[in-house]
Amino acid sequence: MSLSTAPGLQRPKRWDSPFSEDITDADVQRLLRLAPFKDMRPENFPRNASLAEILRNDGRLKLYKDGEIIVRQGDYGTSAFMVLSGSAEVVLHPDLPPSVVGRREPSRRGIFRAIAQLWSNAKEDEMERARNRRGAGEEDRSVFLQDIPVLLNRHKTATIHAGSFFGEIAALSRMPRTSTIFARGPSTELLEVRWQGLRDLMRNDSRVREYIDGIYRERALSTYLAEIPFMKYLSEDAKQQVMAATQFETYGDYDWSGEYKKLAQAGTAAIGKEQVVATEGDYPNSVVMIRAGFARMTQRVGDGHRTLNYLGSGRTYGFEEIAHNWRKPENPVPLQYSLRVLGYTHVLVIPAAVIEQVVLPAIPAGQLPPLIETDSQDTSAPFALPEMPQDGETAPRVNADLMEFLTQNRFFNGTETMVIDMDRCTRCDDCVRACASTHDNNPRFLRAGPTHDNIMVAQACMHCADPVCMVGCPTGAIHRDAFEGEVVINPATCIGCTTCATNCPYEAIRMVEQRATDGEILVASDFKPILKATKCDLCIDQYGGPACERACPHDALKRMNLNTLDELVGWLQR
Amino acid sequence: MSDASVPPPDFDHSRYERPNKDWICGNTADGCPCRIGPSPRGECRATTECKPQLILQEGEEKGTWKCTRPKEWGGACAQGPQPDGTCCNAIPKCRPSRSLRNRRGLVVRAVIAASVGGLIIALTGAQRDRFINPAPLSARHTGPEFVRMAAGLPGPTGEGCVACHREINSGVSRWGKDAIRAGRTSLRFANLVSTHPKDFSQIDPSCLSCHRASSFHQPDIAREISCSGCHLEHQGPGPMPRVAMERCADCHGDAEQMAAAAARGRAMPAARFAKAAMPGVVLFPRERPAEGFTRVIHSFATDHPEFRVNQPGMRDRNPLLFNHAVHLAGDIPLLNGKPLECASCHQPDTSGAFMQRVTFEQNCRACHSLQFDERNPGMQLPHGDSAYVRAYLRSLPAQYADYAAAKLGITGRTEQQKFVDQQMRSLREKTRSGELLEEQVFFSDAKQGPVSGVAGLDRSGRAKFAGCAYCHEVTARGSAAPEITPPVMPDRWLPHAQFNHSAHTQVHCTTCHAAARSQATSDIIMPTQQSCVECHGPKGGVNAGCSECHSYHNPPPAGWRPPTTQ
Amino acid sequence: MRHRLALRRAVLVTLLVAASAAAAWKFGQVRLLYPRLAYLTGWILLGLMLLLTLYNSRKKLPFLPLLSSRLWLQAHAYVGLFTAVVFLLHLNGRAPSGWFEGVLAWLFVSVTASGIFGWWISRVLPKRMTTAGGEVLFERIPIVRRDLRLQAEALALKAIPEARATTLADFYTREVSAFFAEPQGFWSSLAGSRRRLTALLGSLAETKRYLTAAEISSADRLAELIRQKDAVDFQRSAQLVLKGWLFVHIPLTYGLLIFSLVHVMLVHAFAGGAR
Repeated sequence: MSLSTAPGLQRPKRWDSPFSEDITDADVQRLLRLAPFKDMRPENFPRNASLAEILRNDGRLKLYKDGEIIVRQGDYGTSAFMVLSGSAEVVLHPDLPPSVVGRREPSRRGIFRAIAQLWSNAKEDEMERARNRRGAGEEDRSVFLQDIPVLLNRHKTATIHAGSFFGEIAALSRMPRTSTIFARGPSTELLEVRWQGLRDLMRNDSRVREYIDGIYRERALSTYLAEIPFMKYLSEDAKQQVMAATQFETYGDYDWSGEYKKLAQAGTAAIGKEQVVATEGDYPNSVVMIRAGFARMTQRVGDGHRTLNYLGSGRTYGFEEIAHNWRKPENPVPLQYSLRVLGYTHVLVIPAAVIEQVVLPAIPAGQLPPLIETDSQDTSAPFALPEMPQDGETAPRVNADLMEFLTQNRFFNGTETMVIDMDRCTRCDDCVRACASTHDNNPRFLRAGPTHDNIMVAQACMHCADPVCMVGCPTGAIHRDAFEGEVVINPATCIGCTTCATNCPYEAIRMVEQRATDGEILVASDFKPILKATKCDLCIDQYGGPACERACPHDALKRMNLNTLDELVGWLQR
Repeated sequence: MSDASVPPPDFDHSRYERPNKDWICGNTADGCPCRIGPSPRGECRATTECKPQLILQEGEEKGTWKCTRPKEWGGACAQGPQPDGTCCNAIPKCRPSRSLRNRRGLVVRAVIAASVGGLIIALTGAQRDRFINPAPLSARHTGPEFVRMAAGLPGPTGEGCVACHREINSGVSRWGKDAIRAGRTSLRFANLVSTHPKDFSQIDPSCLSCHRASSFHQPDIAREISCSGCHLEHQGPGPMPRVAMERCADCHGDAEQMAAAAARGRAMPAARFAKAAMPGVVLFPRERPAEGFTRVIHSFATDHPEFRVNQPGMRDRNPLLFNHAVHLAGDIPLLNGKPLECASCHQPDTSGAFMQRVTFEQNCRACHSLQFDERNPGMQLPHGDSAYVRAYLRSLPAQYADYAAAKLGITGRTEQQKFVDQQMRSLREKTRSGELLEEQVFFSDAKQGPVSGVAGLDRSGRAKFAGCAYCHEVTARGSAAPEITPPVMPDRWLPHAQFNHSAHTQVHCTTCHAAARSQATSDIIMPTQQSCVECHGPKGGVNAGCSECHSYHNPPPAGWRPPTTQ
Repeated sequence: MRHRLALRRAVLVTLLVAASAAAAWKFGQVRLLYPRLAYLTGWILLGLMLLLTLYNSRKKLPFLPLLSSRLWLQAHAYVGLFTAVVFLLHLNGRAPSGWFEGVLAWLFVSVTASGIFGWWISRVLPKRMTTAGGEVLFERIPIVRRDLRLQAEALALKAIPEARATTLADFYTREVSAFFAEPQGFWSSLAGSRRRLTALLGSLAETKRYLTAAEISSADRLAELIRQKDAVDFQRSAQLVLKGWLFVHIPLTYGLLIFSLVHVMLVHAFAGGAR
C-alpha cells in the first residue's frame, strides 16, 4: 500500500466552504432584484461562476443593530459591503481610540494545548487534520459603540446610504481597513462580499468595475494623502486643493511576481526592464508618493544604475528638488535620482504647481527639506561614488552590494523576512525543528535561499507588505489575519491549485501532499494526490511569536521588516 | 580559500527538509529517497510507484485500472497497471537509516544504560568497597590487622569498610534510606552553614568500639562531639591529618558554649575534675579555676590567656637557694676550662622533649664539694639526709681511720692512730668543739660571722664547703638532727601543654627563659605566652594550632558512658 | 561593526570573572568555618548542573514563551564556566582518588571540555563555511553528491561522440570518478586541505592540452563540478563536527547526572556525623 485508493475522496473546490451557510435561494433572488445586480447581464458571467452562485457562495447577509461596529480601522479584511437597508457611519477623524472599538486580542492556543504539542503532534508528515486551527469565517463577537450622539459630536463622520458599497479598499488592496464604520439606525442590513466574489463581479460587469474603481479612488485618496508628512501643515481648504489636483497612476504589471520570476530565471532581473516613473536629470514637475508596491531610487554611475534606496508605501519622491527650486529659483536643480517601479505599483502624483502654491508656503521654515548641494551634479566623474541621500529617513546605511542584493531579489517587500547571519549560524536546524514542533511536525520553511556574503534570506514566508500570493487565490484560503495582518493559509479552504506557490517570487510557499493517519498519501477521485499550500504562519497561534527566531541559540536568525532598512542596519551592527 | 567562494549546489527547493524526522529513506544515500518515506518506526513502506484505481463505467462489469502516479513523479506510466490492479513499477525496498539526531538519542540512551548498568554491577559486585571508597584510609585504619579486627563482625568484611560503616552490607536501598534520613537530620540545609555541626552519626559507635578510652574531654563540656567533628578519614594514606585549630575554636570561641560549660562545671564536685597523676613526674602545683577553662579563645595569637604559671603572684616555692644570674654571668671559676652555661646543668632527657632533673651529684658537686677538711680532700660529707651528716660528724675519728686505710694506704694500726689524732687535733684548733663543728656544717651559709668558714676559703675566698644552709633551708630541731627542707623542682611547669625542647633548638634558652636576670629561686622564668606568639603567631608564621600544645582527649572518669547515636 | 556583541561579551565575561572571584573569596572565608561546606558547594553544583541540563528541555518546548534560545545559550555557556569554578571549589584542593569519584570527576571534566570545544567551533566553523561556499543542507548532501556525480559522468560521456575521442572520458574514469564516488577525507577537508583538489584540477589542466575545443568546454564545466564537490565535502565535514561534538556533550551529561545523584546518595549515607 503506498497510495490511498479512497475513490470517493473529492478534490476540494472553490466553493466547498461558502462564505455563509445561511444565505437562501430566496435571499439570492431578492438580491438579484436589487440594483446593481438587477442591471447585470447573467450571460456575461461564465457558467462555472454565475452571478447567482457568486452571491450565494461569496456573499452573506447580516443585520446590524444601532452602533454595532461593522469594520474596525486597522483590521485586515478581505470583503466589501453593500448597504441594503438602513445606513452606516464612517468615522473620518479623529480616529476612535482602540479601546472604544474593542479590537480583539489575537487568539492563541490555550497553554495546555500548547504543551500538548509535545505528544499530540502528528507522527506522519503533512497529516490531514479534521479540525482546523482557525476557520476563515470565524465570527467576531459584536462590539457596540456607546453614547453615539457624543461620539458624533467629537468625531467627524460621513453617512453611507442604502445601495452604496464600502470596505472595498481593504478588500482589493490587501491593506488594513482605513477607518471604522458602524451601523446607524435600528436595523441595518448589509451584503458582505468576499473579495474573490467582488473581483468576479468587477471582471464580468463593467459598470460595477467603474463604480467600484470610482469610489475606490475617491475614498482612498484622502486616506493616502494624510500619510504624507507635509500634509499635516495644511488647512482643510489647502488639503482639498491638493486632493483635487492629485492624480492616481499605476505602473507595472499586475502580476509582477511572475514577471520578476521570469527575469530572475533568465539571470537578468535587469534594471532596464523596469518601468521608469521619473528620470534623473529631468525637471521636477511633480511629487510622487508610493501608494502600494515598491519603487527603487537609482543614480547613474558610469554606464549603469546604482540602487540607493527603495521606497515603499507612503514614501515620497521629488519633494526635495521642488522645495529647492522654490527656494532658489535662480539656481534650479533637476531630479537627483531616477524612480523605477518594481512590479505593480500605485502612485499618487501631486503636480509641482500645487506644491509650490499651496504646500510649501504653509510649511514652517525650519521644517523644509535641506537645500541640495548643486556641485555634486558633476557627472564628469562617473565612477565617483555618489553621496547617499541625506534625508535621514531614506539614507541607506548598508553597502551598495547588499543594497543591490536586496533590491534584485525584491526582499524589501517582506515585513517578517527571515534573515540568517551565516557567520553565526551553526546549521544546527534548531529553527527548523522548532518550526516543525509548532506546526504538527511539519517544517514550514526551507533553511536555504539567496545569500549575500554572510546574509542569507531563507525561503520562509516574508509576510509581504504586498502579498502577491493572495492575488490569484480562488477561495480566499490565503488571507491576512484580521488582527496583525500575517498572511496565513486556511487549509480547510485551500484547494491545492498551486496559484499562490507559483505567484510567490520567494519560493516561500510549498505544495505538500496530504497524508492519512497511517502515512498514506491521499489521492482524490481524479487520481491525483491532494495538495495543500503551506508556508510560514509566523506562529500566529503560538505563544511568544515565531518559534524559529526564539529557537536560534546563536543569535543568527531574525525575522525582520525589510520595508525600511532600519531594522536590518540595527541588526547588522549588533 | 583564495578564490571566490563556490556557489551553493542546486538541490530540490520544492520540498521541505525535515531534520526533525527520526528515519531517513535508505535510498537517500543513493540520492533518490522514495515518495512515501519510512514509517515513524523505521520500516520501509515502499511498495509500488502508484496504487491504481478501478474505474467502473456504467454497465461495465470488470472496469479498468488507472495509473495514479502524479505528474511530479513522472505522471501516468506508459505500461499501465497490471490486469490484477497492481502497479507495474515496484520500488526497491530499502533499509531506512536513522537520522544523525536519532543516532545521538541512541548514544544518549546507551550512555544512560551503561551508567546505570555499570553502577548496578559496581555497587552490588565484589569490588563494591573498593569502587565507592572515595580515598585511601589512614595507615591506622587499614591493613590486615585492622581487617582482622573487623572480621570479628558478622558478614563479609570486604575491604574492611564494614568495621566503621556497619550498614555497608545492607545494600543500596538501605543506603538510600540512610541518605534521606541524614538529609533530614544532621545534613539538613541549616546545618551545612553551621560552624558547630557536631551531631553524632552512625559512625561514632564504630569509633567507640575501639577508642572508648580516649573519647573524653572535660566533664563540663557543653555538648559532646562526634569523633568526625574533628577527625577526618579518607584523606589518603599516612597518618590522619591534624585537627584544625578552627575545630577547637568552634566551641572555645563560642561564648555561649563556654558559659554553659562554666555553669556546668561550677555545679560539679571538684573531684570530678581530678586528673590522674603522672607517676614520677613533679608538676608545678596549681589549682583548677572555679569556672574551668572556659575563657573564649579564638586562636593562640589573638585571645589565648597568659599561662597561669606566669600570672602575677605565682612563685617558685622551691626552698633551695639558687641564683641563675650569678651562675651564668657571675665571677665564678671555669668548669673544665669553660664558663657555665645552661647546658652545664640542664640536659635533655632521652626523648629530648624535656630536661633531666637537676641533681646535686650530677650538676652541683663539681663546684659545690662537701669537703669540710681543708687538708683532706677525700673527706666528703654525705649528701641527702641530715641524720647521716650528724652521725658522720659524730664518728669523725672512725671516719678518718677508714679514710687513712682506704684512700691513703696507711695500714699500720699505730700509724693510723697517729694520723687520726693529728687530724682531730688540727680540727679542734679550728673548731673548739664537736657541737660547734656540727652547727657550722649545718647552719653556715658563708655569709654570717660565727658560722662561716667551716673549711676555710679558697683563693677566691669561696668556701669549698660553705655549709648546708648555703643552699638549703635548715631548721634546728632540738636534740634531733636539723631538718633540711627537701627541694621541690617541678618537671612540668605547664602541665596542660605538650612541649618539645628538641623542636626548639634553633632558639637559645634565654630567648624564652629569662634566666640571666633571675636572682631568686622564687622567680618563675617560664616563657610568656607573648614570647611564644612571637613565632607561633601570624608574625612568626610557625604553626599556632591548638594541638601544637594541647591534647583534646583525657582519660574518662569512672562511671562515664559513651554518648549514643541520635 | 559588531560592537554590541563585543560589548555584551565583555560584560558577560566581566560578570563571570566577578562572580567566580566573589565565590572563591567567600569560599576562602568560610572554608574552615563550615565543616560541611562541601555539602553546600555540592548542592550548588548539582543545582547548576540541572539548570544547565534544562537547556535541553527548553529546546524541546519551542512553543512556550520560555525566553529565547539565544539567552539560554548565553546563560548556558557562562553559567557552565561558573559551574567549573564551583566544581574546583567543591574539590577544595583534593584530587579525587577513588574509582567512583574519579569517574565522576572525569565525566564532569569531559562534559565541560566538550562544551567549551563546541562553543569554540560554533564560533569558528560557520565563518569558514560561509567563506568556502557550497552551502547545502546536511540531509541533502547525499542527493547533491549524486547529482554532481551524474552531471560529471554525463559530461564525460557527452564528450565522446562530440569529440570522437575518449580522452576526457578516460581521464574521468582514471582520476575523477573515485573523487565523485564518495566524500573525501574527513580530516583533510576539515583542515581546509586543497591538495586533492589542486592535484585534480592540475591534471585536468594538463589533460586539456590534448582536448578538442568541444571537450575543453566540458572540461571547464567538469572543473567547476570538482570545485563544487570539494566544497560540499568541506560542508559535510564541518557540519559533521558541528553536530558531532554534541555526541559527546549530551550523552555524557546524562552519565554525569546519574553519577552525581548516586554520589549524593553515597555521601549522605556514609556521612560521618559532623561531616
